[in-house]
Formats: sequence, C-alpha cells, structure tokens
Amino acid sequence: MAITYEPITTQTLTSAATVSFTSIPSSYTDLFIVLNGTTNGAIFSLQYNGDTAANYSSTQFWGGSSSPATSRYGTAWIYVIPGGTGTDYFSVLLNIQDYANTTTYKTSLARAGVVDANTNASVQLWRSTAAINRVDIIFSGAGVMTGTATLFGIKAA
Amino acid sequence: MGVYKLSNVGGFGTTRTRYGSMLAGNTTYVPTAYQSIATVTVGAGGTSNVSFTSIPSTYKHLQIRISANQATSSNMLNIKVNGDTTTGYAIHSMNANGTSTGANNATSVQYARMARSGGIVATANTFTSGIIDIVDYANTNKYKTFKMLSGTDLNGSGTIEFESALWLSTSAITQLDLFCTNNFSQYSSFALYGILG
Repeated sequence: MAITYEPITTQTLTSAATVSFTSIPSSYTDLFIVLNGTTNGAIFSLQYNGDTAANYSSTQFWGGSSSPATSRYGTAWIYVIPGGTGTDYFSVLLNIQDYANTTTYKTSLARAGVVDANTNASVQLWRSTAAINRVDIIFSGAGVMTGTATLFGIKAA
Repeated sequence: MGVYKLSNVGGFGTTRTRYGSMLAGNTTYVPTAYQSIATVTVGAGGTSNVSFTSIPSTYKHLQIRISANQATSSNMLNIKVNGDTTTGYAIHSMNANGTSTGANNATSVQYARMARSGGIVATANTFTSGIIDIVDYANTNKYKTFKMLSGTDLNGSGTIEFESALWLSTSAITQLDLFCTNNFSQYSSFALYGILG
C-alpha cells in the first residue's frame, strides 16, 4: 500500500529568521507543515515559489486573555504574536490543500498557539495557479525561531 | 528447508543465501496508520452531491480534507450521515471575517454543517479549504462528534471558522453525503481518510 501521510523533510533550526522547503515534489495531494519550538516574537509570513509580488492575503482569528479578535491583511500571515518578548514556546500547523494543481489559486489553513499569548486560526490565499514547489516562512523584523520544522505530504487515493 | 530469494539465485555456481524466514532478508511491511479510503474530484459540469459509501468500520477515526467551490453563490456545506434526514443533529460554530467575530449554535437540525457563516465560496479560481475530523465514528455506544476547521480568503474579504457537530445516533457511520444548495464546481475535491487506532 502506498504511503498516504509521509514526512518529506525535517529541519532543526537555531535562531533562524526563515524556514524554507524547496524542490517540493508534486506527487502529493496536500502539504502539511508543523513548526514547533520557541520564538522571540514574530509575524510568520508565507511565501510560495519565491513570489515576492503582492499576490497574497489572509484572514486572522485569534484570542488570548480578552475577547477574540479578527483582522485581514494583504500578506499571507499565518500567525501573529502580539507583543511577544523573551522566549515564547509555540506551535504552528499549516495545511496547504491541492498545492500542486495548476488550475486554481492556493488556499491554506493554519492553527497556531503560543504559551502566555494567544491561540490563532487563519486562512491564506496565494493568487497564483502555479503548482507550489517552494514554501518560505519568513519571520518579521528581528523575529527568529529555534526548534523543528517538518514538511509532510498527504496523498489521496 | 531454507528460503532462497530468487532475485539473488544467479546460476548453478552462485553461492546462494539461505534465509530462515519467508521475509528472505526483506524488512517487514507495516501499513501506515493514516490511509486514503476514497477521493472525489469534481469534473466538468459540476456535481450536486459527493457521497462516501460503504465506509469500512476498521478504522478508529475519519478525516475528510476538502477544497471546494460552488457554482452560483456561496452556501454552507451540509453533511448527511447514513442517509439520516431527521432532526438528529446539533451544531456550534465560531467565526471571524476580518472585521468581526461571532458564534452561534443550533439544535435539532437536519444535517451537520461546515462553513455556516462564510459558505463554500463561489468566486472563480478560489476554493474554500476545510478539514473534518470524525472521532470514533464506528463506535456503537456513542453519539458521533464532528470537529471542523474551514476558511476562505478573497483578498479583501474572507472567513475562518471553527465548528463542531453532533449526530445523535449510536450507529456506526457507514455513509457520508456532502452537498450545498448549489452544485460543487469542477476541480472541487473531497478526500476521505481513515486513521487506525
């Protein structure tokens, strides 16, 4: 039986400002990325295939110690840590469905949580019909991450 | 009697390796816990309903991964279990659209539902993503719980939603029908996975 849910690659990171997955094969149906570790506080921004043009947008939904909040952005933000200081433990789960199709724009769903800050869900859009073969997760400002980043492929029958 | 791997046999003069088991030096195959059961990709002309039938009871949990678009206007996704159209479902949801957040619930409804606030998108080229988890779906001692995450971003608008649903039946789930008010568009895909426990 073919493997349905398969780790493609794992990176161990130390104070990394960017996480990059390159040469992603087109043989899966969906991609799933797990980030886990610590950060000094950053906005995580998604970029596909090295596209730096204004082809991204996102809708965020988060809650912490007060009422839930929402906002919309013209970038593919997957996580927002408001006012993070020191070392915050966090995890991000990112689903990119139908990533290799060459007909539709690409929608992704993310869940994230950080200790002592907030929990977050978000949806991102990349307005391109190109198959995704590279994913860069870029941390804003002086933000860095220490921990692991794993890319999984999910293959439908 | 020993076991010889034919691919290594060679000619009469070749020294053959004698194995003590039928594995003949190969590693044991262990099936993965996450397995693809069925996939529906909508073709040209669209479809009004996606059905997963004869779902085996051999898994512990189910997951449906969705990338969907509607033909005419956006409406929520309805999920019918085992053909049950009685008011035997309850639903709760939390949602956000970039401007405001909300929550709502309903009891004694006819279907489980996903994307109740934003609906499955009907904008060209843009697809709603959704993931539905059904925990312990084959258990005949429990009602069935659905856990759902879905979202659409349209560059200036969009919705992200958390939802849960309850099917008030102890029957094992053997069929799931997914449908909206309008047809699903071409390239919409629905993939059913089983998770072994």
